[in-house]
Amino acid sequence: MPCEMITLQLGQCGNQIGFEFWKRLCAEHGISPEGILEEYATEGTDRKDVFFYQADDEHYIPRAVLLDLEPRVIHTIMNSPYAKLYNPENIYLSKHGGGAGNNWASGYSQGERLQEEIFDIIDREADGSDSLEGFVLCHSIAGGTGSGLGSYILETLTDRFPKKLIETYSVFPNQDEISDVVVQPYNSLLTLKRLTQSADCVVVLDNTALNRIATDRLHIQNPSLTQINTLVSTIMSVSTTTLRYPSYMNNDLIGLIAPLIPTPRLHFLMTGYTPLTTDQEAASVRKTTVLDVMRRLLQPKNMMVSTAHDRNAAHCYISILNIIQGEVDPTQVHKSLQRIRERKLAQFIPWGPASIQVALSRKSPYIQSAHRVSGLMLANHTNISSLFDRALQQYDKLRKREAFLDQFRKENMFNDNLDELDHSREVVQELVDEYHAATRPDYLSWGTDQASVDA
Amino acid sequence: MSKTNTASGGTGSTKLIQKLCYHLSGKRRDDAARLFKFTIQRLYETPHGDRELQDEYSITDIIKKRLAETRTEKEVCIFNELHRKLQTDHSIKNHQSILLFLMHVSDIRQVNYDGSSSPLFKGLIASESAEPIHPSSFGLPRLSSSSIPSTQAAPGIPSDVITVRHTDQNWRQDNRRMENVSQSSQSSLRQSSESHVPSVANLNKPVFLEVPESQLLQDLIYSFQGIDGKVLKLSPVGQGYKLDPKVRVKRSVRRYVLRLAELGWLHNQVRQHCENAACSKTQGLIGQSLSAAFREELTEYYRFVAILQSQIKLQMDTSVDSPLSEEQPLYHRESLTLFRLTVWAFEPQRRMKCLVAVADACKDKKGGEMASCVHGFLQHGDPVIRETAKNLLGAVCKPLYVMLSRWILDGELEDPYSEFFIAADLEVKGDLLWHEKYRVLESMVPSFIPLAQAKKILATGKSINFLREICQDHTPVKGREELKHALACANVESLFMADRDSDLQSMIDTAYLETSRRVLDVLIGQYKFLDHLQALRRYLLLGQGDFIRHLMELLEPELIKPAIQLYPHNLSGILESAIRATNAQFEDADILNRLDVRFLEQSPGDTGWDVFSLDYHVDGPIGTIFTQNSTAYLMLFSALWRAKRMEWILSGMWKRQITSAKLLRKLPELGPILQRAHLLTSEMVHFIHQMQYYILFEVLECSWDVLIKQVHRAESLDDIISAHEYFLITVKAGALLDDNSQKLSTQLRTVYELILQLQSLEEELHARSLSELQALAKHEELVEERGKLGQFGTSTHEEELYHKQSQDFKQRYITSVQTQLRILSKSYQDVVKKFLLMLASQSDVSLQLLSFRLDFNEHYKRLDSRLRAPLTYQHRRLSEMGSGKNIPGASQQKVRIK
Repeated sequence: MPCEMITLQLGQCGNQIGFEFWKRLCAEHGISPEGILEEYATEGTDRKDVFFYQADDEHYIPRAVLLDLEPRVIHTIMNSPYAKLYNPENIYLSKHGGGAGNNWASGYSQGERLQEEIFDIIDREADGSDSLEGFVLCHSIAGGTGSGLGSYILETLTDRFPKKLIETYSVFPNQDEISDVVVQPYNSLLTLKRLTQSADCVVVLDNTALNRIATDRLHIQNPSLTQINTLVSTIMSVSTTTLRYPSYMNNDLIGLIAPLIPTPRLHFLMTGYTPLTTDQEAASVRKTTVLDVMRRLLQPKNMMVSTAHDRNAAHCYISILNIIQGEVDPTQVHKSLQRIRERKLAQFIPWGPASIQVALSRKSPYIQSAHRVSGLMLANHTNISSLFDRALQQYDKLRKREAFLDQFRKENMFNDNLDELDHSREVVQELVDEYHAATRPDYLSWGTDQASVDA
Repeated sequence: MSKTNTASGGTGSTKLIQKLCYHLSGKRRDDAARLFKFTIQRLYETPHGDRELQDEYSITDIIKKRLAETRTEKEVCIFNELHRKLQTDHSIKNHQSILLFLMHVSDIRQVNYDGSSSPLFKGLIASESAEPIHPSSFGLPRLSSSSIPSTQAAPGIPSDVITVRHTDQNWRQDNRRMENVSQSSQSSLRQSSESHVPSVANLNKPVFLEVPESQLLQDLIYSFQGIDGKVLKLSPVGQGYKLDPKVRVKRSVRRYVLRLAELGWLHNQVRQHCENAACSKTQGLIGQSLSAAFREELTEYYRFVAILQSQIKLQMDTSVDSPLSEEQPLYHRESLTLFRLTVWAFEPQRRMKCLVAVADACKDKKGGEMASCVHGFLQHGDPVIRETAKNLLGAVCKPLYVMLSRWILDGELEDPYSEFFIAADLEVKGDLLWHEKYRVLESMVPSFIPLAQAKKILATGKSINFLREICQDHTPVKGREELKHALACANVESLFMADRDSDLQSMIDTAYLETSRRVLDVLIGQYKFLDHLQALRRYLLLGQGDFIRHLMELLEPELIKPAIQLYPHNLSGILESAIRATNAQFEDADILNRLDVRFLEQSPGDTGWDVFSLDYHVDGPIGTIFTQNSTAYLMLFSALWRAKRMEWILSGMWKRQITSAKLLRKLPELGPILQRAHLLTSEMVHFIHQMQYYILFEVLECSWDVLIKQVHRAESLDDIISAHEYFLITVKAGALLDDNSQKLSTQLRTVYELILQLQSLEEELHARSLSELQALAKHEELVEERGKLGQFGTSTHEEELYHKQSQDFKQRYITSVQTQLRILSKSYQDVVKKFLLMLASQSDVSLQLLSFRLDFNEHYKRLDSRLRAPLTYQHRRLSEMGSGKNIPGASQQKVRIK
């Protein structure tokens, strides 16, 4: 089967959102927690084989690799009804089980040490697919395993599979609350460098925004991790829906992200989803039309990324892809686009053609929804740089005081110097600059300036 | 005397009589009514056809005789004097009638003299003796004179009465001409009879030139049957009957005879028609039945003639036996006179006239046309004609009805003479049966069947045939037995009677709906029409995205070969594996078997991409819907496939760029050209994606939506076929494949060309970059090795070579690529802008929408002032001029706009 995707779940966060993701995929494809096709799931118009493969006994097995340096989350998964779903050979727990201690450097160096074992699994999984399209990496950038091990795996994947795409679902830390991970700014910055240089597409899941959406939009006072992760799994499943339910267009990952990403570095995508409901709130059904959905998707409050308002730059959309599901009359799409353009609801780049692209996707027939139409927006917006800017500022604050660097110095990479940190800062700063450049009409010649600076 | 007839029939004369009575009775209503009644009675009792008193002379003779008997000689002289006056007075016609009338009045006086107490009557009688000058009409003694009777009334007949009588000027003039002739002949006759036969007895015997009325009647009756009589013969030159010119008949009688003889002529016409019809072999059933109806009418007519004949025979016999004096009672019996005959023949004559008119109209016509023709007479105002026409049409429609029933029930055309309004082309077989085998002959559709109804009837029988021949479905259509029964019971007349909601109409409608429904059920149920439609959408219109994508991936190495090196079986094999690897494998085996590879026509230099096409074999019943449109599907496939290929190329380019970007970071000098290449690629990606989105969703999916709705609503196969055709037309127009958008599709091809150019440029750049990267790595390795060896800074030959090569790469190659990219990007933008301009000036709204989508953020609009101009007529004209190169002044105007 062509266009398979291998999912790598890293660390606590990565495994949690991965778990929710598989739960959701199983529900959508009518696969039981044991991996057996439910009796009602006979439609056969969906492509299960993008994310699953069938074992000899016809069981569906996710193309997933579960990696962690500490056993807690994976044990939870293995004690859940979904325990039998995964291929046990694909679950890798570091033997010493001590975790990465929320330290990027620890995770990274453990990755170096464990790479043989880890890549045995990944290679086997890759060999098992006919024409692998790419990898999906779920992780958080703030912790130790997801960020450190993740960074190492990203770099290695790029080396080992130079022609495969790497998409990540990267959870950014919540800025609203004080984290117990003090080195979070270092971790984030170091991971951001890898995300910039080694990933091909990063779907940014901002915990700040996710929490805010949970409290403000879903009216949950203290949103639990599971509730947040349900949001994330929704985004992950909907953003892969065109791969799983093939139609005219966007049937492979390239087809999905190529129109979104104009230049290799500008590959950080924001998401938005509407209508948002929780299980408790299903009763309050709003009217949903295509226009409603598309208009709401453009509202910042529905975005899963919290971006700061930046006065200095005229931030704009580089590209937008709306995946609309449900009972959509195709003629409505055009009308909605017209309205959006008339009212100038979205600002676009000044240096090239851009538009709201729409993918009409089928919905799983096995999941009932109270809404006629729902939509996911994948957007490439220059304002995402404010997120990186914030990461830089926090890093700078910490770095100025040379705080908490001892743990880093223990690892090989930082034994001699902290050049890696400086270099990462440079890369991230460059990324921010490029996003800023993309707001200006002369973005076309941006590389030229860069080259002349380099020269 | 003709007046008498009309007075009895027409109301005009009765009114005049009434009016007269009113005046005569001194305007007293009671008296007037009584008088009127009496008058009418009298008038009816008065014998009209005194055969002996056919001329003025004999009448005057009788009067003189009577006067001589009852009055003095002097009175006879007075009469003579008055009669002379009468003859010289030209304003009075019908002297003979007047005299006759007066004579009868004197008779009445003799009868009623005592009985009548009315002074009026006395006056009336008194006036008779003194006043021979009368208006010829019975009921008009003297209108201008007072109601009081006067013996010496003014001789001047009130002119108004006369003008009343002769309202029809032409008629009068015609008559006058004839009278002059007859008068002269009469005068000569009188002279001769005065000299030779003065006695009354002699008068009663026919003069050798005279023809008795009985003879005329007999001849007329003969003529009614188309037989020449003694005096009345069929004119060899003209078409009517002519009296023997040697025979002298009074002009009025002659006129009557000739008028009646017309019936004979009419009869001959009808009989002629029937005889012709009997001989003709091409007449057809409907023509035959018309003739049959004619013959029936003739039989009826002959019955009428037979009655007349028996009457005349009786009369002839009695008149031979009995002398004139005994004739009086005959008048009171049902004896036949010329006038009676006229009355009796009146209706048959009208009928015959109608028949002849129908026969004439139907000449050289057949079948439905003939029925239409007869149906035309149904609109006639005359109820007799209407009734006759209705009978005829009923007969004509019988075979039509039988054909119709056979057609609706069994789909059989039993029409040996091609009279039915549905014709079959027996040559046509298979898929074309539905489209071409049967058709409605519009000229043959009877006018009482509307064309829409005719088409329904066509569809009904066609559906039955379609089911039987194409679908091999022999189960009877639901409700057939009921329909058969109903058709057998129904009245033929309901076929053409005006009521559209009648049972028959609704039966035809039901039959149409039922058979159509059955066809649809068979097509959709048994032959899975919807599945095939869906399959066409999935495979030929690229709906099964994963399959198409995979197929393209697998085919790519094959299709870049020249077309002549392709082998169908190789490609079929690839098709198979693409099916196996994707969701297409879940498709019905029947559908997959129909999917095949096909090569389009090759021209030299074509690659596999140019000639490859998927094909979907449709046969059997569903072929009726699809076969004619197979080329449309192929056209659509190749357009969509080409667009898909562009997307594929761009995806490949994008992927290469994005993955190699990580490596090429080591060559910062590539930065500017990579940036340019990336942005140009993304511009193209945007264009192709939007273009595809437009075609696939805005056009295809929206039209598909409409199609599916229409298919579900469809009442008949024709509905589906037309919905399907409409679908293809819209999709073709949307995909820029119709005739109007040739320029656009050429421009689109140019865009594709540029994409291919960028692809080759990018491939080369990629390869060169990678080799440069390798050289760099090798160099670094070398440097490192030397470093280990302790040889720093020394430049060896190899190093020099590397530097030279690198220098060459950096300065020459990068610059040339940069230039090429710049040119490419410039020409790409120009082409796209022109494309947008062309779209904007299209009259088709949906194409304007495409331009809106392609330039959603108004990027190109910012770049080109022409795109900014509002869509006014002037703008459109200018942009058209801009596209046409040879228009002088166009460039000037463009400058002015800028």
